[in-house]
Amino acid sequence: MVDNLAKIVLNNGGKIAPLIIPGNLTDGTGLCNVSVFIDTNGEILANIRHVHYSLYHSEFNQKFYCKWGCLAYLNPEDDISLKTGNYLCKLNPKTLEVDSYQKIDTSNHDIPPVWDFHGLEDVRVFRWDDIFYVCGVRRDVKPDGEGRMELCEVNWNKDNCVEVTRDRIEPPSGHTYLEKNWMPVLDMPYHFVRWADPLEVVKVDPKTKSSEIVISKDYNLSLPLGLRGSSQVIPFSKGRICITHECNFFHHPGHHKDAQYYHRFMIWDEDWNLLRLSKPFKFMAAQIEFNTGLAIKDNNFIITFGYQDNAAYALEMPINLLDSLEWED
Amino acid sequence: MGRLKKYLHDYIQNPLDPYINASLGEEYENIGQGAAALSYFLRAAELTYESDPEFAYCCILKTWLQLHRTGRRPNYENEQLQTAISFLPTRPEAYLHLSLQHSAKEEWKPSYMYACLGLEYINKNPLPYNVEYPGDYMLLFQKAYTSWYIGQREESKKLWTELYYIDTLPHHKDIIKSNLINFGIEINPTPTAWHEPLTYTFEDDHQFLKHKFTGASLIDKNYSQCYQDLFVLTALEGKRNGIYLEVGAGQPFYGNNTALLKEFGWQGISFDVDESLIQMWREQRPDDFIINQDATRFDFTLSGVDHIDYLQLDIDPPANTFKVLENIPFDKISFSVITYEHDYYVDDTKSYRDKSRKILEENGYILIAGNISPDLNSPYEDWWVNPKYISEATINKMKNINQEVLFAKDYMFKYLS
Repeated sequence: MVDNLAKIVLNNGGKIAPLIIPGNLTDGTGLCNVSVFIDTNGEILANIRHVHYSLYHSEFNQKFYCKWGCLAYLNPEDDISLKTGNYLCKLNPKTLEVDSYQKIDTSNHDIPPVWDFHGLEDVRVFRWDDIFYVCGVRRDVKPDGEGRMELCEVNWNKDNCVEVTRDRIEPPSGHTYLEKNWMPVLDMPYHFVRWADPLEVVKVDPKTKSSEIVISKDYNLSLPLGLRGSSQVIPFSKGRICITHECNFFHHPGHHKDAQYYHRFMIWDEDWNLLRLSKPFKFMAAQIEFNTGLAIKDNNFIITFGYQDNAAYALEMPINLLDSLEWED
Repeated sequence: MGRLKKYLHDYIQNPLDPYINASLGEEYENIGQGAAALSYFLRAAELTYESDPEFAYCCILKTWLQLHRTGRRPNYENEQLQTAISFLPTRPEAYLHLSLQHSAKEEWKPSYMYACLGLEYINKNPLPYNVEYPGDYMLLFQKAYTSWYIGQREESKKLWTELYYIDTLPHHKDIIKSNLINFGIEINPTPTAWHEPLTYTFEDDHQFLKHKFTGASLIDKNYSQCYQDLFVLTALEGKRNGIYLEVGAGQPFYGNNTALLKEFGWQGISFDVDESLIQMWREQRPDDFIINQDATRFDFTLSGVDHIDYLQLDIDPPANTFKVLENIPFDKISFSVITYEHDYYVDDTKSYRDKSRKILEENGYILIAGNISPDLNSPYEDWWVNPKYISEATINKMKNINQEVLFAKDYMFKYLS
């Protein structure tokens, strides 16, 4: 397993940038789970998730517990709801640093939250039929915390950054409690990869807010953990590529919950036949990392991810470095 | 961002190096990214748990500091401080912060207890990173403060006295002096009482200003102790781009007489002999010129100017202020407005007010406000004007020199009866 993809990238002509929103806007709490997209005019756009907590995560030998163990969300003690806000940004094409940013104004569609997770989480950014969308999971509109992917058009110009529409998407069959991490397929408007293994591609009807399964494939993979969605699915070569994630929850010797996140590159041909699946990797050698963005600019991938829910990064990786990764047989 | 990126690159090359993790955390802290800083400091602590316990302790305190600065997480803060003490009970810093935390909630017994415990472990080498520990004296300060509230009043007096002779940050020294006076404890040299500034705000006070000089409506608030800054602008009709000479500058903003003038475009030279205050000026008013020299011996003709709009003379004790006055070359430099601190109410000789008045009158200045006081019984300043530069109408309107105590608020404002 590659435990430090960023090191390989930096030592082979790539680069990395920390993505920052000023602390006076965030109280210094977590910036994470960035999604990146190359717009039609070539601009590098990104969405940075801001959470109102600092994640306390005691790694390694876990000697320094906080009050709630080795992994805890340090929310404000007078408001323990898990709040998410989203900042749309333009990244500098040379440095990948944040050049400008605006918080998405969602007030046109917000209702008083009825569940403890507030806001649109783990947004992916993209454009379909020339409309600029963000899409993530929202859980604050049902009293039981039911989560659904919400597809939201955003009107973003130098003066405004406003959510114009909000469509809550129902899953294709039967009731489920939580739908999240659907990966938008950028060259197939209104299609998402709902599951990567077995593959399930769904098509969404924005008018009816319904979805239907349009492609199913079982690759008969034998993996220890389920493949879950991470980045967008983007055109690559003559097919498509994305980054998936896996999560290993475990209880460390002190019996508190802990987690390990892994990611993989997944490459399909144009008919969704699986061509390559990388072995799992870490971005920066931390237990908790989460990717929500992948784009191609010139001969590079731009990969964006959150680190321990507390920091956000953009990594520019030469495409030819794919061959130096480890791949499943 | 340059240093942040450097340490980020270093981290990526060696993510298990605790010192690089901590350096990266420090850079994140410096740009207000507390959550990211917390992650890297926590990793550094974990990685030095056995190999470098003092470093690990410091990094745990850094995780506390991020939460402290973020705010709204008092229990988590408390937890991190307790974690630090549990790990390394023989250092003083976490005890101090627990003491401060409890005293902020008026929980005097535990605050006193943590101060006492911390004092058992002082005189340690400084930690590698700033954890907001001003020095061992602060534990003594906390013990003095809290002992008063738990009935140990003689101990409290003894500790305040002890603190008077210890180097502290200026604002702590002010509190120490104030408490000594409040407790009637005599110190040699006699400390001058400090009165909290009488604040002016547009919303509350503008309507009552005795003279609404040009630009007064643009002032949101002032800085001086007794409206000296407003008085200067009153006498000079809201003059912009004036020149000042400030002897005994004090703090750059709090209680300062030239901070407001600077907002009116003024420039000048300030003097103070307190190195800690000089440092504050360099940080908070970096564009202003402050000299760390004894003004009683300074050659003021070196400035090369022959007229200055405002002269402030205010150094303790009264004898020293008078020495500066004697050192001013009035035959070579004229002034439009002068505020002179004679500290009559604490001047045991009761002589310097009269001696200063004699010199200023001999040099053609007119006393316009005598015995200015921050309250009803502390006459400490005279305010003077030069009739060559101040209109007769202004002098007539503002002159008030026949009172033993002239409460500054009454002098500057005209309240409706």
